Amino acid sequence: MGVIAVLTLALKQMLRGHGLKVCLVAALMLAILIKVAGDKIPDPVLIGVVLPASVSSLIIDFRAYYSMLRVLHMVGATPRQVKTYMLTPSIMLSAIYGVPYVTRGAVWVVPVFILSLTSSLIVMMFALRITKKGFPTSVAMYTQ
Amino acid sequence: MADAVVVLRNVWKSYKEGDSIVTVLKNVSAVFYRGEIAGIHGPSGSGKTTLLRIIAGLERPDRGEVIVDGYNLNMLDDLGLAMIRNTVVSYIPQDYGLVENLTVRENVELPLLIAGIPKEEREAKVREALEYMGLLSKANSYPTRLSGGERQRVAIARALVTTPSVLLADEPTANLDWENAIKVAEMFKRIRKDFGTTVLIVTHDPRILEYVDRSMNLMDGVLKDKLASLAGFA
Repeated sequence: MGVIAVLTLALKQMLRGHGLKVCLVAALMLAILIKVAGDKIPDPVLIGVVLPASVSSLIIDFRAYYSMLRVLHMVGATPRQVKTYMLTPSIMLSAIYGVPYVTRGAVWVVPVFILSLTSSLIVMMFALRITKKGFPTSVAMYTQ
Repeated sequence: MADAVVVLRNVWKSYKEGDSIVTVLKNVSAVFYRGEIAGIHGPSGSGKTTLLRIIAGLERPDRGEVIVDGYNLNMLDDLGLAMIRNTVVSYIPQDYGLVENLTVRENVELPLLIAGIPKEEREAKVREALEYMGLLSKANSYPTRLSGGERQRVAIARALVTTPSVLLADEPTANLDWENAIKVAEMFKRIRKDFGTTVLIVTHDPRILEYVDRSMNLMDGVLKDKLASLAGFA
């Protein structure tokens, strides 16, 4: 119970934020890049492009995700609900970043999706870590 | 004999700070009763927020026992603590903890949403809570459009919507002018009267202690009863 509600909440937050818009624009640019110059760019670089793109689209809404994670934890969300909330934007954005690579073949989509999902989850896990334990001392120096 | 709702027995809590270990709570023991408004006063860094977070089940003590409304928090796993936070205890942080890209209505609805309450029941409860706090006209506003006093009332409405046994308020008047601070203190008295809720207020403002039944002093992690009087405690 409540997992669907958290999923809807995460989607609602994505639609109200800026990360999704940035993700769609970046995915479109990636699609153009792959179409126009994909053959001239080495494969690792082409796959690697998705990493900064997916991290940026999550970081743009980081404050919103962090504040929601903090509140969910505070008002008694279950560990499963918290995981659902963390995974929803990460999976959604990673899936969108995977689309431009479809033109290069299915083999490309898997590493792109995994790379994007991993980097997104690292951002979300950082948000969860500061929800539970506060900012690490080194980060707190710059945020206080 | 009054009904004990929060019992703390020999609670210790330490944090690692760089290479050293700082003990913020030292052998804290206390009992808070049903329908009581208690104030915990102390300077910054004395362990007040940590104490509230431990009672809220947001942190675990290193040693000692915490019993809230009959539940021994030490015996509960993460799922159990989540249930306590959702149904038994409500915590209002100093910055009100509102989600800025959700409307007032959606913010208040959150605890009910994650509890899996059906939509119709949710809407009725949210409406009731907003009406009680005089916020019905602001239901579709975003928190950024509200004044400090209104934001505080939204946070209280969200805390009340699940009708908890214990309401924990961390520096509820810190960001308010004195006029709004008095309104909030009066609001806590009304909540106690209407719902029989136990309210624990942590504050560094000694003026707020005039509005509580009992005040305690937390200094360097040691909790002491300041006034034994329960004057006005209904």
